[in-house]
Amino acid sequence: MSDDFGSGNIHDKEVSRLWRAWRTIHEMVADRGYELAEEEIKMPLDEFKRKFTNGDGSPNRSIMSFSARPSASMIKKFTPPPTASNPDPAPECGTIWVEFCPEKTSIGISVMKKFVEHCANNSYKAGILVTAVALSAQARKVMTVTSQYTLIECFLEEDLLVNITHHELVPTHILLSREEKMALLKRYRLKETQLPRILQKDPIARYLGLKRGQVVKIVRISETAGRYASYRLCV
Amino acid sequence: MASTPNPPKSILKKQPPTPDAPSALELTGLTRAQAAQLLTLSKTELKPPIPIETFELLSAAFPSSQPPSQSDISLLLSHLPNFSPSEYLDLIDERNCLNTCGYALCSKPRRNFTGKVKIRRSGVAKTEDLNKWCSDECALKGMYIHVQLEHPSYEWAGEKGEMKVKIRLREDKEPGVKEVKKAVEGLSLDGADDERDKKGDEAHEKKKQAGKLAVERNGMGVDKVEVTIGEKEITQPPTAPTFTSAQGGESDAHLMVEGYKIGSKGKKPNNTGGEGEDDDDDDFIPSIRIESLNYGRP
Ligand SMILES: [Zn+2]
Repeated sequence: MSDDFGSGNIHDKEVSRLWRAWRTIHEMVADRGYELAEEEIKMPLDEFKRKFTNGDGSPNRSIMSFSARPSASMIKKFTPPPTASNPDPAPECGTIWVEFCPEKTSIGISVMKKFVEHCANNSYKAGILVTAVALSAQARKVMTVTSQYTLIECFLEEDLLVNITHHELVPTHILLSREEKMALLKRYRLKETQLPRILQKDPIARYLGLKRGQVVKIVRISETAGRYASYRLCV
Repeated sequence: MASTPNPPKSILKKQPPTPDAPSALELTGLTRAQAAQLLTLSKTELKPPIPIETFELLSAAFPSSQPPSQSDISLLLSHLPNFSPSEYLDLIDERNCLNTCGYALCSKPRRNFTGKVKIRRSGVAKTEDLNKWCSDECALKGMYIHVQLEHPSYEWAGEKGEMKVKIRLREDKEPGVKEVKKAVEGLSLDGADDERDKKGDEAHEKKKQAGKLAVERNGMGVDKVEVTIGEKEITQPPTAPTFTSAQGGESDAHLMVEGYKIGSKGKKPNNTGGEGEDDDDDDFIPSIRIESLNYGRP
């Protein structure tokens, strides 16, 4: 990660920041279980520049969007166990759509609505909008209202400059499937409210796109116990 | 309670008899006062959130013409009373997102100053705040509405008996705070000038009553005391005062304060025998001490 200050292009700093956000969002999507090619995730800065900048070196965010399909293991994890009434349940995940918002001053209702509509029209199950600036209060409201149909998430480019899960003090978080969660509660004879909690707005919860009621397994490396697992319920 | 045959015996003090069927009030667990408060709140404070469609309506391509048409104005005025102050700020935000002036009746693009702050005639202002509007005039008009939402005055609106926030739009050439202040300072209240209007009359009346009050306080309207000031004739150069023998003579000079002797006749200076005196030397408070002493006036 080298910021080329010396080259003199005023857009260089922005492009390199954007490249880091691009990389983090790809890692994030991959960590959630979607299929992404390795070379897409680990795209070098030179190639990124070649692909996504205009002639004058300014980034072209509108062509940076991408979609990803869930992997087989992810589909398995997100498929509820079959019941008598529903012997062949549909998985609760689908293709994800990621878009970089070119808007640089402010993001209002109209921009958000357009994004939501695009996701709905192409029947994406989830959508992530990466923005350079914060959303307006009402645009945020549009996001939460529509999230019942399509799961819409928003990230600031600024928040994606580093991948927080790569920090040495952040333990591994693994999302449990519905069956795993039931098994856990059964084994420890717990009600789900008796589990420790993690907030939905927690940076890691946002990274993994946790929904209310999901449980993560947190694996810490311990000097005395080797590996130590704890569980948290997303609230 | 009639409905339950054998109510468990209470160890608490006897409660006043409860009505047979719990009212809706009791079921919600609210006291009557709370319920009443809630009712007024529901009429004033607790408003449902403004739907996103309204924001869109009032931000995108609104008003449709410049100057705004009468229908646009009445549309805005019909929506505004439902806004909370923060929602109104959201509306300004939303309009700014579309690059229009924050004032809902202005369709001009907003200003686009650069930098962090800007020096204006009124002082230093954040560009962030300045860029919300197309002009200072619009900023005044826009915040005029915000103030009315923050400190609402309610009016009864229509058939349903709801309370509605009263909103007034700022006129184009309405005087600002400064002008009003200036005008008020220019007013004269002494009631001397001839072209006295009603206000002047009121002031005059007040003055008269204040005079009456003063007389009453000073004691039953006593006539004024005649005071004549005369000059004291000086025949010889002034000399320093000397002590007469009645005041103790020269030997007590060190005990004299401005011609009076402290602790004369019947009272010993150390105050041991003072009848009814509770002060001893430990808690010597000068003011009390002086008050209690006989100043030895002739
Ligand atoms: Zn304006």
